Amino acid sequence: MVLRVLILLCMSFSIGPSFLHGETLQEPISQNEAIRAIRDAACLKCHSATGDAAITFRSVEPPLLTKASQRYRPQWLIDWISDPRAIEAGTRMPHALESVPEEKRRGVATDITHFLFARDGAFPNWEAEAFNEATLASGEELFQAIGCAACHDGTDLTNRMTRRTTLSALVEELKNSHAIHPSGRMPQIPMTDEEVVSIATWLIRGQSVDAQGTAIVDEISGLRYDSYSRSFHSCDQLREADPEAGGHTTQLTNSVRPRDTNFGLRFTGEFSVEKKGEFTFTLSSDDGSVLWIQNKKLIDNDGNHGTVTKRGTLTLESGWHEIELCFWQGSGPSELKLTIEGPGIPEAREFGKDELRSRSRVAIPDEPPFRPDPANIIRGGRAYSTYGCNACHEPKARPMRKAWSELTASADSCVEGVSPLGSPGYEFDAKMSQAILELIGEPLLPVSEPGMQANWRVGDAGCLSCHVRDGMGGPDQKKNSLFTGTAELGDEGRLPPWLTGVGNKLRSEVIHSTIAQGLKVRPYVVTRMPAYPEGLSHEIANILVAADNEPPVPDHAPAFSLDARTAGHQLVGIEGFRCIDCHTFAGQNSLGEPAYDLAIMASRLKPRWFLEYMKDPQSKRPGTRMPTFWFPDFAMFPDLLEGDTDAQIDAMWTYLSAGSAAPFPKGLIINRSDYDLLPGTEEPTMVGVFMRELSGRVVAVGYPERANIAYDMENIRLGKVWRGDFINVQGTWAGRAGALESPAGIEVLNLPPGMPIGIVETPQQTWPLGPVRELGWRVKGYRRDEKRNPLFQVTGPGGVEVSEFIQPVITEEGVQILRRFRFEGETLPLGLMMRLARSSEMTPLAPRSWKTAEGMTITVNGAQAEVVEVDGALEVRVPISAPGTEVKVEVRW
Amino acid sequence: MVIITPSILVLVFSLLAASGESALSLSKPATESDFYEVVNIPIPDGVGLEVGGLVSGPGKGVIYASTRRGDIWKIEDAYGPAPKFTRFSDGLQEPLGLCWHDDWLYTVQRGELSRLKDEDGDGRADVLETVCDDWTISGNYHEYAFGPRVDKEGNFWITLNKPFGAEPFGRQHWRGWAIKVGEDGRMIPAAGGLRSPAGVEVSPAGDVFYTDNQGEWCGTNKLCHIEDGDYFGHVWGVESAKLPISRMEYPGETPNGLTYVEARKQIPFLKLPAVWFPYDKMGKSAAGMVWDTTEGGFGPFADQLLVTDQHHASVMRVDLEKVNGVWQGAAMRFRENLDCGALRTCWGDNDVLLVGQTNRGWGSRGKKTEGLAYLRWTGKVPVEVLTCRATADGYRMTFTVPMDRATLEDVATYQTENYTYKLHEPYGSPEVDRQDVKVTSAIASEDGLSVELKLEGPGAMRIGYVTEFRMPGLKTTEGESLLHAEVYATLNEKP
Repeated sequence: MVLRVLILLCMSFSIGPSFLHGETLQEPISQNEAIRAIRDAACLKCHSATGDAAITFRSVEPPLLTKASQRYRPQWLIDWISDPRAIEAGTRMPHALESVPEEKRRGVATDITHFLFARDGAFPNWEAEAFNEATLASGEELFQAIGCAACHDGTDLTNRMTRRTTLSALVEELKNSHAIHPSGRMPQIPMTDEEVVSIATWLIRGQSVDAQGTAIVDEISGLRYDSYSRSFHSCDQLREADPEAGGHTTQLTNSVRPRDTNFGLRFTGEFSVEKKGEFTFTLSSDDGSVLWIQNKKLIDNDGNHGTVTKRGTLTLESGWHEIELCFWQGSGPSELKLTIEGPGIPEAREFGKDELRSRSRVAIPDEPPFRPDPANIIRGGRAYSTYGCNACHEPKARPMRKAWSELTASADSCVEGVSPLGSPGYEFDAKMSQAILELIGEPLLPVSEPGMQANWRVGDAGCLSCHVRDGMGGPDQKKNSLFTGTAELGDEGRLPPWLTGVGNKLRSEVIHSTIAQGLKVRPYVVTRMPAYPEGLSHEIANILVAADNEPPVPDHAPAFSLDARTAGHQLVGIEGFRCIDCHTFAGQNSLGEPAYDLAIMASRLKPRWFLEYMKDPQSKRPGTRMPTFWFPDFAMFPDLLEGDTDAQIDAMWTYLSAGSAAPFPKGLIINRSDYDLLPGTEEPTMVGVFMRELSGRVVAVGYPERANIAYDMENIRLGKVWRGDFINVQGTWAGRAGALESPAGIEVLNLPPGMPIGIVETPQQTWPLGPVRELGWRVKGYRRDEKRNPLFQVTGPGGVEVSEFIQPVITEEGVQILRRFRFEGETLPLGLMMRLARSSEMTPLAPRSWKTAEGMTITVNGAQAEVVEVDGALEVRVPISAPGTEVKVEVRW
Repeated sequence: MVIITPSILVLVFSLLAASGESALSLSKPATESDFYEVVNIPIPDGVGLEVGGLVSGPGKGVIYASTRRGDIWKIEDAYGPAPKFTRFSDGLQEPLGLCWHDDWLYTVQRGELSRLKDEDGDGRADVLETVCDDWTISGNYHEYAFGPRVDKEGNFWITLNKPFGAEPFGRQHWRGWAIKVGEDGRMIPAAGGLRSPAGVEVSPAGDVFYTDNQGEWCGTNKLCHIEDGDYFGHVWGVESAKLPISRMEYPGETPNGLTYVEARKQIPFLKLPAVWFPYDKMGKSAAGMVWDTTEGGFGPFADQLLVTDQHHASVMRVDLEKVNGVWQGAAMRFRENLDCGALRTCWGDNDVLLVGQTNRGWGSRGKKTEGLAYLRWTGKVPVEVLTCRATADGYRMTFTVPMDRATLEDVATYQTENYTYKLHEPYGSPEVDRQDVKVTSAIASEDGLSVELKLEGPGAMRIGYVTEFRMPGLKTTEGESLLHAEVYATLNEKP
């Protein structure tokens, strides 16, 4: 019991990263931390143990060294073996050669490197590889966001990877990390191939610049391409544009397109033919493409068209020739294919990788040649066992040192920093050494404590870098902010879920598949759950289930009944507890926040956990936003299933058990037409909205005559008029709203930007635009007449007061708009002017009446109106000089 | 006018209680509804009443309610069986507050302070005047504006939410600020660093307070006293402080991850909340508030502050005190399980507490999505902690009815905790820096109506920290338990 208390106390300390190698620790070091250190240091690889000690101190498995030559560059490997801590602070790799005199370490490390490379039978060439700088930004973003950064420091890892490996080897390692790390130390985050390349490119970017930081460009196979994310109508236009991105490719197809429509690509470089003679090129594309050879247009397949194939023929010498291929795509599907046939190429085919070359940005591993030497190899093989590499790495020897139970504290132990000959060195600080020494021999171990083994295992697998279990782990403060997601859900919207009690929460097969396949059910959490090797996943799932069901938790099986199913359906919807206010259902958005999908819950959760969680969410997930719905002395739905809490929760379970095939909860599917606003039969309907193209402060008015207007209060102007349906306000009145609304009707007329009233020094002066308040105008509000029509009021420079009354007018050609402006003030400011239209054409129809090129007709009454040319277009302007002036403007469109 | 102080009231109520008027039977534990009845005002079909603003009168039985959909409803015969609803105005943009001033009905829309008047007396406003629109919105849903409330100088106080997500019309100044509008209609940006300040109110003595909601740079829900120049810690809008009209200095970089008390050492005008509302224990989204000015008409809590919680669909109670010129107070639960999220509150006729409700977009306890209800005191006195005020070395609590002196003086009666919150970017803060604190002496008054508690331990009486008291075992002389056995007292100053 005493021991248990001790352990529980200890568990309140985070065990986050490895505690090896001299990290400063706050006292006291808990027994659990010492156990963690022993597991990470893999002590049992040398010191065999049995029974509780074997379970408690079980070693974390190191990476496999098979094919080390494919991913470790020789000079780096020599450095690494010579002194791993100098390269990676906090590494679990011990200092294997610590007992070797310093001046001889590199020699031994070189031998071991020869041995490892010879064993692989491979001494690779270290060549330049195409380096696509366009992926750098996304690589960094992915690294920080999807989970890499939970365990790795980006700067540190970049420095190491740049020296350690090559771009292609790193891509391979990221795609197949389980083959190297069967222990799950490097789980595999689900990623597309493009994402893997982006991350690898970012990590290896140090190889793409020289010592001065200048980008390295070299001739490599494949072509350089530029890509454009916009629409074109010809290849000539494309050639003059500036590319947004680019890279390197070995395929002359649309596979490198930046998006599916409205894009362009331009490939440049050289191709080679072995024999001279007449060659035929065949170019198929949808839409346009043009091929230039040696700066001469050979095939013009330009234009907006479906797949069209064209040919061109020319005579070439053997050797290299310049090539340029441009291609663009508007809307719809795209296609691009180029083939060549001729001497030595009897059948038309695409270019091979080595038949293309270009000068491109490259990553170059700066690696001197490394060739096998039999003497080194033989010495290296010997050293591999002498210095105990084979205690951990294959081919593995049996533990060759004193058994754990026979260990005693001594001055020359590897724990205390003075390695006996042939033993690796560890860098524990004094307190940790002491804590470890207290566990050697035959200590009393907490192995039988429920949950301890599970906590150790999830610690081994790195789960606690992201997840919290039993108060341990989770991202530390520095890394916390790297976890992003939807802010609407607080930390639950960005941090991976707790693992505390997970073996009792989730069905065991779900735990297994989640770990093995890297599944996640919270799409709003950006960090991705990585996948672990199959066998390990089983092991972790089993141990979690065992730990969290000790003592055994009785099963719970809500009985199906039609009544329960019906009640459950009601309780989830808007006539119940309104779960859908926050939770999505079968992929349908919730009414508010996007929390965890209700329709997958029953297939993942255990019914007993669901029951307990629903009764008291805070008990299982402290700080959750999930509300409590049942209270000891109060039932929200006393008439449903007699108000019985358990029966109501079981009823919800019964309903949710139908999964995504269950009928939708009431209120989930919003009928958009419910938000169609209609004008009154006698009075207009007014609504305040955000409106697209106008501002966040618009009053929309729908008149009974079925003419509608949008008055922009922010910019003080009539912004839009339209006929027919008024507006749909789902985006303003449903959920959290905040959508930019648009007119619902037809024949939308956009009025010219800017206030219709301004002050100009000359009649032809450019119309003043810009923030209306800075121009001296303020909105004053509006009055409603007896029919509730608004009269908008404005004050301006010199105290001028302007009102605008907008009135639908029924005419033979349908409803039109009459705008009545009135100007008041003791004196009006000099240069007061109205501008009512601006267009390239202004066709006179009658005195003071014009039609614009866009089809709007303006008729001005009550003041002199004239058409003036301003900045290359025609404007209808009305000077205002006398207080009391009333200007009627009829707008027909 | 007869001034009735709380202590006299307590005496009166204690006498009532002693004479059996409290009618608490021992056979059944008391529930909140024994003391405060919830009455829902019936709403006719076709009226959407997602209440954003609420004001009572003028005239008997009259309430005006503004709604999130942009209407203002005039409700007549509001407390009768069939209230009459007239659409006073439409076309407003999310008006979330109402008040009467100089015969105008003032409201704040997203983009302006407006006032309305019904000139022809047909129950519908004929004129809307824009009083001030010196701030702008970027077109983000979270850019709410709360208020207006008039202070002693005649300024209208308005609190402006910061946006949350896309800003289609570009980032704007003064989001996350408390502003006031003077008589000239010009905006005075008074204080910054607010997050989602869903309630702003002027106390009867003229002090301005606002409530804020947990999230980034807001550790948990809080009640803050606002004065010109204050900074409340949210970094969103601090750049606006560089503009000349700001009353707040530019705070520089806000430290990310310190406790509020530690952060204040770097930014002296970072204002500590008067009251922290520990998350979930005291609601999840503090909103509207009102001082109990009923002088006993609403029960024994005269002069105290009542605060609604949108998520918990509840009303909380706060006992405030001013020590060395600084406000602080104790928060307690008061009335829960309303039918919908409680956003706005004000006094109605006959000392009932009106509660305007909506939960659209956020969800809340309760089975309705919108509504208007009121709380009516049944006349029975609940067994409650009345006040909890700091002393030099602990707290003095008073009670609504005499408590059993033996349990009152037993230090084991009081379970205590002490913690605070971090000012940081992540969403909300856990309760941090807990230290042991114990009641080491409890001295009750002769009448059992108060107790002096001495606190000791590393967590005793720390400035900027919450002392949580739980007293499940405390009993009246008649053996009844407290209706709400927890008190959360925030300490900013020791007397």
